[in-house]
Amino acid sequence: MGLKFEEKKGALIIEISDKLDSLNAKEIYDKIEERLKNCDKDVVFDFENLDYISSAGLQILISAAKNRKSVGKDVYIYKPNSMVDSVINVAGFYSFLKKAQQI
Amino acid sequence: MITIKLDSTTIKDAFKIVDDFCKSHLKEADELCFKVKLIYEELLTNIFRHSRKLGSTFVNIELKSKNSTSVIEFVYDGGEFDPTNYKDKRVDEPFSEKKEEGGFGLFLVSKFSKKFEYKRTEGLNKIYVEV
Repeated sequence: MGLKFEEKKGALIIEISDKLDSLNAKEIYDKIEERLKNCDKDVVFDFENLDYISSAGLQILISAAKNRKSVGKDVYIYKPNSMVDSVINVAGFYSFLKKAQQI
Repeated sequence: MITIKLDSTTIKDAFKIVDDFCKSHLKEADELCFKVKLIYEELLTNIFRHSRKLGSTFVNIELKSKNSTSVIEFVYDGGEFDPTNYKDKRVDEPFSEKKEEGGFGLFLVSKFSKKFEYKRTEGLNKIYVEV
């Protein structure tokens, strides 16, 4: 599992690499929830090195979006591969997630 | 066909089956491999999650590749549940701070499969998916 946090240009970048599935989602979910406590920044999920996402990963995106909405901030997705992008899109999540062009 | 006992210690073994299938039959970077893994994971986790409620104790798993199509079959015991006929209300719920998480697994299976069928025969649940 690859999970990194970095603050950049006023946003919290969350880089998740390799895969986001039901075997690792709970651990990642807990770490992100903890990191978002007392954080007032937009969140950018850097998916440039993410190969795979399932519905367990989608739950992390909803949770982060709800958390950011509660503080008036947004959640962005950066460089998902075509299938990760397709899963997010088919689930209708681009109605509340934005795409980041650069980070 | 591989038989897996349905308890919390066997789910990692069950995940390994699809990884091995993709390595030996598909190109791992391909969209087909992604879809096979996605559909397999969503159905398998669903079977594991509901095994206690349905009284399920085992699942037989078969993965096959034919031309450009992959076939996933699950046969498991326990009470009847038709995943092709189940719609989770959370999928259509508009986004808000109160939106409940989850509910997208079977929705993704229906969206990314070519054929998604269920049969109940001889007291067993049989799921057949073409990807």
